[in-house]
Amino acid sequence: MTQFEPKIVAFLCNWCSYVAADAAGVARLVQRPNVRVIRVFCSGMVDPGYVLKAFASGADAVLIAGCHPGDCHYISGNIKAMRRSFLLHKLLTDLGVEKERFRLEWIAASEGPRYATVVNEMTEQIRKLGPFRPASGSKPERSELTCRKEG
Amino acid sequence: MKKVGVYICHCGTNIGGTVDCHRIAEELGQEVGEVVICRDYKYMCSEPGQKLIRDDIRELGLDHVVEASCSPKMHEPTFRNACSAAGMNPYLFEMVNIREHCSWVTEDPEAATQKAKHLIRAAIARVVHQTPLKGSTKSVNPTAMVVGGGIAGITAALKIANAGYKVYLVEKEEIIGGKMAQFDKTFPTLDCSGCILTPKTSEVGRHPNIEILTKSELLEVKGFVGNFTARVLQKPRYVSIEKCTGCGDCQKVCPVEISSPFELGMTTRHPISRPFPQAIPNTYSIWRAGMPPCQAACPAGVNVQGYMTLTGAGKYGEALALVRERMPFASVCGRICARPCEDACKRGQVDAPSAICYTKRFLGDYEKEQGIDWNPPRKDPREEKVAVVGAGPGGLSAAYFLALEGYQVTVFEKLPVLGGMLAVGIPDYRLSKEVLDAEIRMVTDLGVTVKTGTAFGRDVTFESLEQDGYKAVFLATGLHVSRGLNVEGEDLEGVTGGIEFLRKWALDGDVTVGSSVVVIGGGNVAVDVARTAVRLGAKKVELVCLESREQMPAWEREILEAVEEGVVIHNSWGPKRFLESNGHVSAVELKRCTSVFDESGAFNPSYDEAEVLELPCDSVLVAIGQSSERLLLDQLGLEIAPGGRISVDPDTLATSRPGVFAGGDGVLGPATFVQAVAHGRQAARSIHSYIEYGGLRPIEAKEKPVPPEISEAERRRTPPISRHQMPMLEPEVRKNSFAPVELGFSEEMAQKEGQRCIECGICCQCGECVRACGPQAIDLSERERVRELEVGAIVVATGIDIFDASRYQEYGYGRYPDVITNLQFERLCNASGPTQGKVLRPSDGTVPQNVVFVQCVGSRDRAKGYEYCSKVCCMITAKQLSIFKHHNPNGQPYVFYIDNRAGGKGYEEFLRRAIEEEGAQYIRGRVAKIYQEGGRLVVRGENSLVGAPVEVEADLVVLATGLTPQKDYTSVSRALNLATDKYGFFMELHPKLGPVETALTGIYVAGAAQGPKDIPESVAQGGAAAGEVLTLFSVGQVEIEPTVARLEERLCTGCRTCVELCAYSAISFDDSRKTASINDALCQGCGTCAAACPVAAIRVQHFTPDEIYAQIEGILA
Repeated sequence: MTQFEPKIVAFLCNWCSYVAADAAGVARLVQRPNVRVIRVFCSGMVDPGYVLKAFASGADAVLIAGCHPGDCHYISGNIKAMRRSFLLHKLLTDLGVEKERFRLEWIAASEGPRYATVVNEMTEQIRKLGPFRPASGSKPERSELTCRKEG
Repeated sequence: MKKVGVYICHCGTNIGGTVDCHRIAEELGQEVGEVVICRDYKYMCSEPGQKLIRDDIRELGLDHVVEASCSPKMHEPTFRNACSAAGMNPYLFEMVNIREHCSWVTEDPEAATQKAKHLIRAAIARVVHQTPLKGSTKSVNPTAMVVGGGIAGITAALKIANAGYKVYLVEKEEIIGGKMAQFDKTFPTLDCSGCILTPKTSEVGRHPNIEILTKSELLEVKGFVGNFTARVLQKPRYVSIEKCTGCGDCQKVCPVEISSPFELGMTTRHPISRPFPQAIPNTYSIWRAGMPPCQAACPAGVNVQGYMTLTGAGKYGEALALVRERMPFASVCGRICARPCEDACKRGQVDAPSAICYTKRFLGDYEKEQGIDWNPPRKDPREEKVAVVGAGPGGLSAAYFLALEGYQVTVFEKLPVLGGMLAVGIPDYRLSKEVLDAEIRMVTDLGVTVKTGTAFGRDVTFESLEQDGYKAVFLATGLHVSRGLNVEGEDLEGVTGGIEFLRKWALDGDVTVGSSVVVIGGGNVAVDVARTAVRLGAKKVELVCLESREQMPAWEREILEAVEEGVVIHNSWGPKRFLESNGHVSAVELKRCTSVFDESGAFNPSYDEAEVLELPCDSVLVAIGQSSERLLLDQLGLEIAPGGRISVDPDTLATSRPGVFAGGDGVLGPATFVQAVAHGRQAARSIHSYIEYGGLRPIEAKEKPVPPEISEAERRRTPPISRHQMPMLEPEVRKNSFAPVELGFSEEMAQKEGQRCIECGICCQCGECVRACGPQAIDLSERERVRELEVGAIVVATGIDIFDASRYQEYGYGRYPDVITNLQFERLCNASGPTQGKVLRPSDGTVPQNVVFVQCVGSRDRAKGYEYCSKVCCMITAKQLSIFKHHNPNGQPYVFYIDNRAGGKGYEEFLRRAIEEEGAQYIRGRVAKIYQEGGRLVVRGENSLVGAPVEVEADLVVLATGLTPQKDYTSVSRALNLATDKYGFFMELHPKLGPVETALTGIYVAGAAQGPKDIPESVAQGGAAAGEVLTLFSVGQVEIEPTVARLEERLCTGCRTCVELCAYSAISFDDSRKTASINDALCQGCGTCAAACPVAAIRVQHFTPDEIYAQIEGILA
């Protein structure tokens, strides 16, 4: 039996976490291939809708990573991301998404090793948890989740 | 139908070795409809690679391009330019990172290939939604700021300035030169460090385009490339750079000596000094840590450290004059002050606080004994008259300071004597009338008129004073009425108020107490009343108070002295009623007080009525508080606060009536003597401002206090010395007389106490240097200020710190004086150093024969130090042992090393000379332990080449300490938002191709702040950073990316969520249109607004939801 390979979408801020992911690469820190990166300017730019969209499109987990509090390139975008994350967690729970499937992490530009650790840890954790299967009835329909932005 | 071209780079084998680029290219070309062409190529970033893209755009009419290769941080600009060159808008290009994020970190080639394919597919999905965008340009402010005045910063500053641009050189220390200024010689040429540095520093000093900001630190930087605004905190030098001639007269009179940081603690310096004669700026400056806690705790702000230090130096007159700047009554204060200064004294954290108060008493008494006058000079007399009502400490202080200012002052006093509570409230055994009168005479001798027996409201009023030409009035009427108890029997004969009792005794000398006295109250007045009763012959004096022994508000020493004199204290009792016998009080019935304060901390006693105690007595003295005369308050017609206190502005003490000021107990409630004096001085200043400037000026900026906790450095320089005890009369003697209990300090005791001061403010602001300075260049009232600098580019050259060798406890650094760091060794060799250039042992000043150098202290050591190699220490040691041999040709150097690293022009040759010609013995191995045996040190290590332990006897051990990031690197990285590596060195844009650029355009890094470097490298980087700055200035304008937020006005509901969120205030609410409005020039494109907009009316260009959604779908497809 082939083992389950989760699909994880990572939104990385351009100034800290994306640089950390690059640094992890330069240092050849081996990572599970399950995490796929979308570069954004700031963790504060990640619309909660993007996270829902990812789950609706088949992601098994979503990671948002930004600068440490106090180090945000845009003064406090990361804090705003954090403020949103509490409500988003609640919303996701209501939609039947387990807590582990959504993470917000602070990864500084110098923390390449930490980035690699987060990637590997999260992959293993989600692998254990199994694929994301929205509970019937509360399954987020693509149109439902995305009509706002696309319409 | 869109036409997309996809290009997949092999990056040699970097990508191609893991990811099957060719297969992906073939598959994608067939699978995705929009893809017109999909190529893979060995090096896409090469010219032939770029040409492929350009040609395809032209020939196939591509409208979008996807490039899959390395990180966009690396080559995004390269490929955008390639697209532009072929006439395509660069924002129709998308880059995929399949190297750092894929091929380099994925072990399984198939998995890597699949991941790469997904990432590329996502980019194709995204790119078709991308729209053409055009940036704008903005001009560059051709002014640079260089942070850090070491050799890297100096080089950058000079090169930019020489090109004709203005440079601000911001330096944390008082001089520029950085670490290089501390070195003696440089390797491998043995050039004198000072001789090659000082021409540079003096060129900076006199350069018309360079402005040096010393003692300055970066607080915050805003803006963007070409248009930064930096806020810089400039700490005071206290010595004007323009006026100081560098004569050094100030230094000769400075009474403070403190371990010198520039000399690494190997000698002392005066707080006013100049680190070395050729320093730039070539003027003196003062090292002041801040306001010491004693002064900060003193309500009157008396400069305690200053007068203690002067007393320690035997300069009693100057010390007393310093006291009098804020406290006229030194002798009185020295006897009765509440001493908040001593509670705050940092020496208290070592042994016991300095005896500040007794020392001040000595100063005041010494003046009188010697019959001299050490008052500040009086200014020229002025015509204006000022009235002071009340001759207590507050009123007299105001009169004193107003008289010194030149005013015609009249003091009106209701009582027949002057001094207020000092005269009628404090018994003689604490403060004798002679001492008090002498200090009051000092006030009247300044020309102050006094009118005793003159009551405000009865004999004078505001109107009469105005008519008599008084310009201002200071009310310091005090609290002269005892508060009542409100219990049964209070008006019985034999029950008296404590205040009235003390006043009657002081004025008439005629009061009687019974043989058995009960005093009610737990404060200082109650204790004074009790001790007075003892002295008046009462057989038994019992003191009753609500508070427990620990809670009693009276001072501990007063309570102890009272107990010694036989006063019995009953704690936690409250009076229930007074019992009578023939109309006279016969006993007090007490009830148990269970708590004094309620939960909110307010005075609200609760009792257990069942538990009672009866104290038989024939006199009761009630001292539970004081209040103003109600009648007086009514007559004033001023605003009165709850509790019967006069309302004033706390900064100016102005009352509700113009020209009338109030202070002291009447404003504060029962307060201390020193608080009253503080109010007196404050009122004098306010009145002066009122008369001189017609209005009330704001209060001057206060100096920041030093941390209240004692630091390690302070503890090191503070050996315990026991505090002198005040000589006192024996209890048996003193209880029968009103003779002073405390006898006073001798000159020797006072001087020794002065020397116990640990100088925690560093400079004590005693004013000796101010008096000695011919050109009057010193201003001790200078305060730190914040400057805003508008600059176009910033060079960060903040340098390095030296590893703290005491972390290797086994090496004994800090414990053995002859174990030193290599930077200390530089100072020993330096002609302007602590030994004038002789290499001598710090412990005994002898010439060392065996010198052992220990390498890699803090470097290449994951366990105790840093993992990295500090790069310079091998060469420093080779240089230092050569210098040592030149000083002492018979000496023998040993070096314990791990590897010798001598990469650099001429370095290896120099190292070989040190080994072969200077005869240094290099032992490969780590040192395990250094210990002292007899007068010598023994270095025990191992020789790893022969695999045997080895011991070397040493006269001097030099630790080759590593280079570390500056301790406060975070303040710079935070101010600039500049990333650091895990150690704290600033991160360059690219380790090879962008060594002085950073992720932030317009901000560059140079020198060892980026990582350990030697001088030539630092200089090269300084020059490189200057080159970057000059490129920016010469282009003159910067392109502003079009990736900013855009508002779809028809969707905006005007909810203002975005307005609140924007950290740059780029969004405002347009009242006429009832929508948000975005200012392009301020928007940084962070996208927080877009993420928060509930109706998706805001989108960040190039990061629109359409684009991101497509990318998500593509990535998961």
